[in-house]
Amino acid sequence: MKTIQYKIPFILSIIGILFVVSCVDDDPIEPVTPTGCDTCLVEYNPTPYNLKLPPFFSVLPTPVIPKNNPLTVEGIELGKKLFYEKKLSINNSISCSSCHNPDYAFNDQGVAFSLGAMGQSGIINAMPLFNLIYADSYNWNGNAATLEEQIFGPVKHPLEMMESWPNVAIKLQNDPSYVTLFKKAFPNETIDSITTSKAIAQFLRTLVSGNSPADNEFGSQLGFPINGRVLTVEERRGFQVFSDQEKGDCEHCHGNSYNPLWTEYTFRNNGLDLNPDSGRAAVTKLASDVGKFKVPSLRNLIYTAPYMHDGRFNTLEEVVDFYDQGVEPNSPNISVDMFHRTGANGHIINLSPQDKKDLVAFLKALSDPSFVTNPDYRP
Amino acid sequence: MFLPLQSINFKTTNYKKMKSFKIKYPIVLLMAGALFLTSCDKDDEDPLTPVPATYKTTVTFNHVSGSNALTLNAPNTPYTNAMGQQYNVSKLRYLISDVTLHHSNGTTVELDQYFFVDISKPETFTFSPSNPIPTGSYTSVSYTFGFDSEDNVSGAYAELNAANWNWPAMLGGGYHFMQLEGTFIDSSNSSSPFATHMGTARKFDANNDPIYEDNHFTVTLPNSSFEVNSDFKLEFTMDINEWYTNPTNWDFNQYGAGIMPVYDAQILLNTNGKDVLTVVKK
Repeated sequence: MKTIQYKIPFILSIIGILFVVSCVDDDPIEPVTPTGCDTCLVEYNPTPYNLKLPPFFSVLPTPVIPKNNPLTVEGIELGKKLFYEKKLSINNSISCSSCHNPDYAFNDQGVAFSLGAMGQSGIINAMPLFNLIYADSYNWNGNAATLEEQIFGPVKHPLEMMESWPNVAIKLQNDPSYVTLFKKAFPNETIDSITTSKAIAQFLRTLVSGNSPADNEFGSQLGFPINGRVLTVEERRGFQVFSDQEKGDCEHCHGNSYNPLWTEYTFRNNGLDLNPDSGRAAVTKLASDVGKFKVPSLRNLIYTAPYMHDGRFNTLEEVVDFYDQGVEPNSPNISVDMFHRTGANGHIINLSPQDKKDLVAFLKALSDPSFVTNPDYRP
Repeated sequence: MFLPLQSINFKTTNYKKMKSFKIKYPIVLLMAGALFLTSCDKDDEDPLTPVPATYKTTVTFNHVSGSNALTLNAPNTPYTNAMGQQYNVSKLRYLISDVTLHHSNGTTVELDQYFFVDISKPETFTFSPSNPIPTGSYTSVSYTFGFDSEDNVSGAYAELNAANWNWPAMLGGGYHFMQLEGTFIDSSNSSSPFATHMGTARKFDANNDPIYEDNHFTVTLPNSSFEVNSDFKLEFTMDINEWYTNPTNWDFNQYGAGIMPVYDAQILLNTNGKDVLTVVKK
């Protein structure tokens, strides 16, 4: 019914005319709202949004959109405006996009820790944002089970936006453009933390990255249509280093040519430190989760330096050197996959300089230039 | 306030699609042909032909180490293998396929899905195959550990791709059959990692070219006869210690981490694995 109404503008305009008539009609039974007729013409009649995924992504399970927050054109438009909205912060100084910059795959540009509304430093590296519909938890420690829940956090976090949700709601309610957009996007007209986070979550679910040279290489091998170059000879050698159990052995955590997510979203300790940060244990309170962090996707690495949850490595060369020689084998709960051979020093790989160069070239080829220039994702 | 994301709707359709195309297609054709012939012979259907009663089965998995229930990330190293090496377990995932029930009348029922079990996810301990299972006496249950060569097709299963379950192409491709991981007390009395990963076995010929050996095994379980006259449960139990003995004792000091490219280790798992599972009908 809603779809029909939307698709027939004629009916819509008739409804609109009727509504206008009832507004100006001097009927004593119908109360007339003196103000707000700018928005009283606005109806909740959203257009379902059909999310397009790259053909190659059909090697993955079909992602599920929560039933209580379906994607709509109006919800996504509102969510995008809110994502770039500085009113979400205490002093109207920063927006989500301040730390999740579209030019850098929605990661903060080149800093380990982003700055909050008052210029204070955070304590963990902002994660890039793409292909979030495939994840089953959010943040480095997975403390948010849904995107909607994740969005509650940064607004009120003392190291981030420092604002209260009731204040955000008041600021948005005082902006007529938001009153209209919320009315179009949600069935009740409440502007609050719930509708705001739902709208932003809808926008974030549209951030799909699937057009890297590696996608083209592995997608075309399976017969999917592609749009861009495939891997070079050097990058192909790098994939062999990546896959080889006696070399990189990156596959167990980061996936393979049939998993374009380049992560399995598990929590692992990769052996950064003898006394690691609590990581996942902050959520589960389990000693067996100390030092474990969400395995990050390797997609779009050329835009997301520095690397690791604390941004300790500035270059991919440093990252490869760490996995080659620098793993701390006695770190508690270290992933068994950090060991490549039985016995002492099984964690040391000894890649050749050529292997390292090839591996870095492959890692860079997991980046998707069309994602960081996509105009749909910008205000 | 918000419902968590619904768990991803993993598909197992590829599995059946491939099977039905490659194996069952000729059978279906034959059956269709038979029906056609029958309908030419006789226009009226016999309303008195009895339809055998069918029932549903639920398949469950549980896990032990010898006489101990298996617990993930147990403190210290509570389990002991046949060589007396103490260990604990931080991960166990494995793949079972082609579970088949053998009826005393010679027919079989092959359950219509594979079973991918992850002991960190209790929801993967129970499955409800859709097969109707005819009443009567069954002589045995058989299963395949891993995928046979027909099913072990690289990239064909969305759920397994997202779980990074793929076996590297340079080791023959397809999928892992098992990942059993933990730490053990090594010969110098310190804690060391082990990763018993099983899949296609690779060796090299005289020209140093790789040869890939299909490494699944199929077992007809002993003591697995039962009667079906109602819905029932098939309870599988894996004793992980059986990977490490019978007939050959497994030494974690020799085969700890990095055994995927080690041909002898892969073959030994195949040899030792035949008795890891038992089944009870309930």
